[in-house]
Amino acid sequence: MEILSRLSVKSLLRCKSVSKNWYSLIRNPSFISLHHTHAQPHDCISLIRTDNNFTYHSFYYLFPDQTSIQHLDLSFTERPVDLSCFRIRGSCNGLMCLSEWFKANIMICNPATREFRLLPRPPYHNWLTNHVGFAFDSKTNDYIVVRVATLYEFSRIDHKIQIYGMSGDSWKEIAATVPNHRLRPYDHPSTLMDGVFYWLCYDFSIEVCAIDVLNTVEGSFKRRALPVSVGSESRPNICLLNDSLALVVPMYDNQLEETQFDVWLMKDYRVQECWTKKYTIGPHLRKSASIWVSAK
Amino acid sequence: MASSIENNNEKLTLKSSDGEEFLVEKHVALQSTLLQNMLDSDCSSADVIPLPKIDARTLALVLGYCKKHADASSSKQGELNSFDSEFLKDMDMGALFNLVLAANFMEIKGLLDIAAQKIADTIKDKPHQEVREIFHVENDYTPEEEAAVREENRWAFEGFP
Repeated sequence: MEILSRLSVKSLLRCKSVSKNWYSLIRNPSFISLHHTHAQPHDCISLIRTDNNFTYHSFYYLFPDQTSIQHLDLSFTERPVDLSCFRIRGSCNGLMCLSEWFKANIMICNPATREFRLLPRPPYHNWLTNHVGFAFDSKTNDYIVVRVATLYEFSRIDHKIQIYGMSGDSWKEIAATVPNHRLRPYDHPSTLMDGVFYWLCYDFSIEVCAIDVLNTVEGSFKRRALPVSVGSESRPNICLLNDSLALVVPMYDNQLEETQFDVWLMKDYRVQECWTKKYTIGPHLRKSASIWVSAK
Repeated sequence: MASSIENNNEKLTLKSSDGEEFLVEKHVALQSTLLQNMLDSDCSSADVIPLPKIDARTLALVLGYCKKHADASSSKQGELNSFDSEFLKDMDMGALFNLVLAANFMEIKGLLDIAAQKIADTIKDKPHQEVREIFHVENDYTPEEEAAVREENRWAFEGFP
């Protein structure tokens, strides 16, 4: 177990063919967890940069003293559907959640083993998928996906909140009131932590980005300001960083054609908002379609 | 203070599975979490600590590793790294397996890491049939079952027999 947990995923997948014992060991959750501990670089922030047609991703591992780049190509043949309209909605323990732009086609993917799981169709699947969040829920010991579905009609805007649990492979609706708000014209970065679902929105009344906070356990909702004024031209992102909510604001320099990223962390997000600027990354990255940050 | 200095000079005796005894300085033995716990809980009153799972050849290697790491100060990390790679360099698979088992039993994390990593590096590009032989594992798949398992992750076998 100590030896095998230090092998690469590709070698391990071949080792499943050694014997039935090895097969069940390699699929055992505690082995997978041990493997994950060994495989992760420590104290590392990774950025995922995606190109526009979503077939190619670059991972930037930012160690305290160096930057390394790894490329992830999701265009391998095993994928069950055309990925060109899918976007990364979240990542957790090496798994990624992808969903098709505004539609209800959602999948969870393990890029290392090239395995995909298409989620069953949620209720209200013909409503627009406004936000999708993905996380590991330690209370239920399960991976969950939260979907905010929105109905737009001339006279009415309505939202439904649904949660998918991976072990039960099914959706359930939860009672929560989300005020009517208009959709931003492009991606809504979002993230899920301890049952609280955050997404970035564009507040048309004051013309800046803000953050919406939906507590899926209590069903409560609030809208909060960002620590910096971010206009509609910028594409900020939110994610989790060392168990804190992190806001990543790209600062694009037109002359140098380079982007620098400011990373803000929010501490004690439940008590009161207190943002601190933690890192500035770059400016060695080119302008990119979207950026994700995750950390170990 | 006096007693702690005294303790540092204390020695203890370890006995291998094949009956050989090793006199070890206490600070060297502390590299092993197992021995550390035994000393802390005062189980060390026995004159000789038997290690029934570890033969003399392996125990000598383990203690050589522990001595080097106990004596080196933390500022000599580079030196320790080159010692580690030299230490395992020409070791055969049997000796490596014994080291992993011993390090696992005696809870010596650094040694477990490097020895297990060394084996992992050796087998990582080998076909599974060879891995089976190295680990002396009996193939209990029928040919059909083996083909089906292989089909689950066909991409991982590209370029392999």
